[in-house]
Amino acid sequence: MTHEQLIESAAAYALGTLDGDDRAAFEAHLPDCEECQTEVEAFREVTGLLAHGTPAVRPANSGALRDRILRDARDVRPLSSAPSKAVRPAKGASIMPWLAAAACLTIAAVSGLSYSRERAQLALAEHDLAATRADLAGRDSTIAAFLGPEVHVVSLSEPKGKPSARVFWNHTRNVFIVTAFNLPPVPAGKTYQLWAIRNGKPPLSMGTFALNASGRATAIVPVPQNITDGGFIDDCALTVEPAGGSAQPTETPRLMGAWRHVD
Amino acid sequence: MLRRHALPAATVGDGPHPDCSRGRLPSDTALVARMARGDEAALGVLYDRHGGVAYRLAFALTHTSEGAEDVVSAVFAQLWRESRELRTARQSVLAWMMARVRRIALARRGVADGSPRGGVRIAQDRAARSRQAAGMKSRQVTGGTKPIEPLVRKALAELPEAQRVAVERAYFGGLTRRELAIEQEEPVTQVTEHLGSAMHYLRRALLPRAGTFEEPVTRRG
Repeated sequence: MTHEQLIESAAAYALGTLDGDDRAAFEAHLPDCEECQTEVEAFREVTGLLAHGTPAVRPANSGALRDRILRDARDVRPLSSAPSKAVRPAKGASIMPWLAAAACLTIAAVSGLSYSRERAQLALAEHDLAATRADLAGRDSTIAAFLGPEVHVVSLSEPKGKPSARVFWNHTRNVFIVTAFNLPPVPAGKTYQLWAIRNGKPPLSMGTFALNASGRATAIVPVPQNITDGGFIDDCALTVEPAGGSAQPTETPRLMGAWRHVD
Repeated sequence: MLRRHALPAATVGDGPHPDCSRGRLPSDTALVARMARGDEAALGVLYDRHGGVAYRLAFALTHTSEGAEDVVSAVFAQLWRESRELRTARQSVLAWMMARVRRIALARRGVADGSPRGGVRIAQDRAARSRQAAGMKSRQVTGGTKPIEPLVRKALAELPEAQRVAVERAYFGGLTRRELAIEQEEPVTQVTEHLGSAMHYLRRALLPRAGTFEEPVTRRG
């Protein structure tokens, strides 16, 4: 995607409305683009002010909320300043009543602090849980695509070698799920591209994919219309092509495999 | 015992709040620097300044007072804990806080609804929006609105309907661009255009952030 296309999404990104590949593409571009960074920063300032457009409501007890926040702050990150020196009781005076009173106050204070701390920790834990659930929902979606009733699979390997990639074709959802492992990284400006091969006909592009930092890939790719319309496919091939993909393969396939039905 | 700081209301003017410019009031950035040194009073001042608007946004997103209070509490806890890092952030303290309010509130709502993002949640959002509007009528604070609020409301009201709806549903509804496209029955490209046009207009109308407690935006970090 070009800078001109991406910068049009700067407002959508600052509003937090980009998801999935759109967000990943924008965030991959952002660190290297001063103009997009400036746009996002300005739009984020706008989003900060938009909160003033909400209806004027107040906490039932703003003072109590303030006190809770300050108590939590003391608990979350204790101050580094040295503790004040303890006041020593006068010689000969009985300290027992004071100790008892102090113990009662300490118990009450600790109970209150514990409650506040737990509420703050609960809010943070709920945040983390929601993020985890969103991640799981994405994985569930991928798993569901693997397990559909009409799924074909092809294992791609070098001649007589072990498989280095598998492609699942979920006909119900009309998507390819590409899983790659043990593949070498491609040079800069290149990409992996998959091909659907029908005997006696030119290969059809199934799409391109990239490896992550650990050399693996899991991608869900919509099935191109010309493949859906073309009927039965015999084989699948993998080549390395210029970034963006080629109309036809420009090299001999590195990996090949035959489609079969998933039991 | 921490002393409460009585602060003047935010006003509309040219640039930062006049009392910040004259050195009578510390800027948000100066307060965050004090917090990074463990100054609790600075956290109290920031709460007095922005706790109200943080609560309002949290309430608009969570629809409950308890949920809003928990969100605000969590955001200020993060602000306190991350104050060292925030000193070098390339955004204002207010923008940072409101982004956290949205993130935590939307995450909480996802947990409470137990629903995935998508069509189901959009329907639930519509119902929640009605509940929210009904609930807020009885909670409206009468009088005392700060000058910066009508400025924001006016700017939003001046947007073409499609742009205003797109921004409000994205910002207050937490919808993604694709969900907006489904809800508004428009192509994603059209939604992107609405959001872009709206935010450019709001940027011209609202920035520089007149009357806020922020120093002029400079490239930090």
